[in-house]
Amino acid sequence: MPTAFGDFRNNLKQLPRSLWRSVRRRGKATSDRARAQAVFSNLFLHVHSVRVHRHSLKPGYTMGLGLLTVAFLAILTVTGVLLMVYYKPTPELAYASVKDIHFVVPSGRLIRNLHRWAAHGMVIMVFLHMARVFYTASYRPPREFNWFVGILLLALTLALSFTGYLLPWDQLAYWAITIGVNIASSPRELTDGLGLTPYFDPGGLMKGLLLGANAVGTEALIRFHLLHVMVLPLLLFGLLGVHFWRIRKDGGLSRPASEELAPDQQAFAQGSSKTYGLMAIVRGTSPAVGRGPQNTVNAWPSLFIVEMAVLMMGTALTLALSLWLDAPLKEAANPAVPENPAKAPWYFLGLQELVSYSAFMGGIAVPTIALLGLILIPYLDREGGDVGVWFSGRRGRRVAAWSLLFSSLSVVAVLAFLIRYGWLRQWFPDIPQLVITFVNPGTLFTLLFVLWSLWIMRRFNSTRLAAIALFTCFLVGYTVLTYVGTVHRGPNWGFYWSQADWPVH
Amino acid sequence: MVKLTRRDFWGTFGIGSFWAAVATAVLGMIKLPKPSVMPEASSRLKLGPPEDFPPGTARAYEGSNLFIFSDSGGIYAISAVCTHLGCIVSRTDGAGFECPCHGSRFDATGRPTAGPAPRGLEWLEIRQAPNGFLYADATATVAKGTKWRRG
Repeated sequence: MPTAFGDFRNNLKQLPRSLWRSVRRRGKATSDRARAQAVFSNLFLHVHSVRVHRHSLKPGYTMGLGLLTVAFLAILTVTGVLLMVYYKPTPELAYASVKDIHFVVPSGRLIRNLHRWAAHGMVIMVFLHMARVFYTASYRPPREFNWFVGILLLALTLALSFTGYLLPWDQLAYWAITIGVNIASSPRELTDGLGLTPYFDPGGLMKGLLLGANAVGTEALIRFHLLHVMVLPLLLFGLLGVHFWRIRKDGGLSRPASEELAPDQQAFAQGSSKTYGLMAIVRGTSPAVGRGPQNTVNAWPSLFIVEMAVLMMGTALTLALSLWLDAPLKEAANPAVPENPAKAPWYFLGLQELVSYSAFMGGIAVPTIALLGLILIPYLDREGGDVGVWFSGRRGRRVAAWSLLFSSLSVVAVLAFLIRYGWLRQWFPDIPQLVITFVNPGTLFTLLFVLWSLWIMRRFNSTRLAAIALFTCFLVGYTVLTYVGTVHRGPNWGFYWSQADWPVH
Repeated sequence: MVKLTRRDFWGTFGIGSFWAAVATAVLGMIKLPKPSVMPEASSRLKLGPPEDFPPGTARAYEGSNLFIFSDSGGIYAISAVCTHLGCIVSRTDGAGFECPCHGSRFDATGRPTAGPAPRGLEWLEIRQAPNGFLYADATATVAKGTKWRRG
């Protein structure tokens, strides 16, 4: 007769096994069916669909760019939490604590370098991922809204980068906060010009909310720290969840219509050679081997192997860069003397170049117009039939190439003119600021690009080609401006062919 | 015109009050980060007796971000904070100012002559305290050309 004591002893003996079984629920996944069930019923795996389309695994299509972004985000989250162990967000202690992390804390330098390189990697990957999605027309219905979410994620990524490089409280940080907050308050350029500031002052409100004071100090650092470690990551992860969810709900990754099989041949492929019919040798279809009814394969193992490879590549790349190149730390913040030149990180230097024409236009209006334009693309270009086709075909490739030529030439020409002859203020010192706000190289580029795109729309009678023209122009224009800001701008934001020509002082 | 039944009215009223409550809560939350008291120290700077500033004086006060000049018309203060994006300008050889961040340039009275600065450099108030000392205030702006007159 079984006694309670015997049961207890038995249960105790079985404890490791029953505990493990309660976690895993099933035994080892040894069959396709068991693996499919595991993907389906596991919280962490069920982000994936059980089966994925073969086309989604082609390396030349997505190039793993979205996945690499996620890899960098994972590195950023882990290293960010580790950095918070020692970082102290007050002006008196911040700089010294970052210095400690770099020089004293065990493996602190590596963790900080990883955080920095992963941040750069994430910014690059977000841009490349956006370009891939755009050029393959993957924003078409039903994926319009996910494109919208993606643009918001791009903005959040840039906001996280910006708030991140403020935290070390070195010279770069201090002057970047100063410049950033003044950009936020630059709507005053417009309201001052119209004489509205005493009644309607959105710039002043923004400045007050960001600084919590009249000048950059303790309150500002704490606010930017809060944004960087709490507010923006929460928003980012929330939106990222929506982004992933919509990928699944919108039918997986986009793919060209040519990849969809006709309903009557789903399980069969068109035979390339002769097949054996019942009584004779005939040409015809044959059952497809190793693929499912919709030309899909099992996520486990086909997709997981690819994902792991991409994640490991991202990690290896970041690690190699971090062991090789240290994250910079400038002198401690000095509110009396800005650096000369005071340069933002490379990905903001295009923006800084625009800002050096007009704070409001370059810092707020043009970026807002660009982001709004990006968000609206899927709603304004509703042609179809080209999803998943790079540049929508041969004409699109040609339009992209011509747009590349047009935008790089026009940007270089306007910049050369600006650098050689100056701009309105030099010629007419008493010109009203409103004129410069609306007529400056930044607005000129925007106007040229829009006109070019409208001309393409008329010429080819296609909204998709017009979108390709505009997107290419903005991407190339921003790249050229970033290059000029990075390489050719020196002290007092003057133009120099190389850093060797900078004046010595 | 859509006929609103009593049931619909109360239903709409209930949902409407829910959203009104959410909106009020959000407004209350936005109110918190907007400071009502500015926490920083006084921006008043003690300059010294007027005799320390004979005509021809030009002095930079690092840390207070202002310049003090003196000519036959009086003593005046010009802010060193660039009106473009808040960098600190320095004096050029030609008696003007230039900003290191985005290349704005100003003449000796602070009027912009090149670059993106939307306005001229601010002129600041100079006051004499009862003990005869002059004070400047980096947050008290005055009309351009306002000088503290001697005697």
